[in-house]
Amino acid sequence: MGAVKNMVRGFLFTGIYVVFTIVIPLITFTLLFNIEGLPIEWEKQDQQNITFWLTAFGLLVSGFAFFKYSSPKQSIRKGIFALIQVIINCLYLWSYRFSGAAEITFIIVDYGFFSLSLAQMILIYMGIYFLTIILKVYDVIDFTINREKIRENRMKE
Amino acid sequence: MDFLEVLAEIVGSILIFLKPLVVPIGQWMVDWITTTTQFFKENLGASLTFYIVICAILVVSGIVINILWPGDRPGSIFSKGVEKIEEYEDKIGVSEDEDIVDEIKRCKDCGNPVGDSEICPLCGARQI
Repeated sequence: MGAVKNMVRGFLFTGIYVVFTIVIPLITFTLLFNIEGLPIEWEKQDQQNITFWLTAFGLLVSGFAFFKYSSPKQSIRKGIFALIQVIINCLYLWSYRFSGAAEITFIIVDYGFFSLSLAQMILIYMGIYFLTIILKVYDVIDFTINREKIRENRMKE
Repeated sequence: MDFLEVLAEIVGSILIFLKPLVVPIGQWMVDWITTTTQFFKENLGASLTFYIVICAILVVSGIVINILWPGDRPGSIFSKGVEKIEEYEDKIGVSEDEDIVDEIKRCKDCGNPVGDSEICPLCGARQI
């Protein structure tokens, strides 16, 4: 029963991650690239580049999310895969930047242009992710040291 | 509005205070992420096959590992083997103990093992 419950949880969270890391960004970018009638032209974007890297890292994040969320609570494997997932998340976020999606220049016809830089916002996220990495490393150490105690408590439940 | 200004000043002061610590951390994060993403871009940027395969491997291995080790009880496949081994060990252990205990001859007076000798080496009592 525990295995089935774990896997259902894993698939559920994988679905959520697929939606939020792949589907929604792809739909958003596709709409922005293809929408007509707006007095805005994309100048710098490379749609293929952005969609490729979002899909690639989104797949990795979703795969690691399945492994993480299908693992038992406070298990060492959950800790390790949570740590890897955070690191992959950093790459995913950064893919917005090096794909060009973090520095968007809008050209408004007959008016001028303006640039929207999300690089600073991503840098702040990176700082938060650093703290998250530290926490995940602590979790792995904690789960390893208290392995027997955690296992006993889990068996009692 | 005054409250917001004070709050902004406090937050600004904290950020300025933490800047010497935060900037190197951010720079380090940027360095390793840039290096890694550059590696991906140069070596694994041609097709999505690699990423799809990794994702599939993670999901399949996650399923297999959960079947073997679900976490709330010992693993389903290996636990049966372990249980059988423990049963055999218990049986062997009990029978050996019983045999050994039964076979050992002890002194009638002091209980010391005497083996085949007729006189107890400890208390000297005759065993006939």
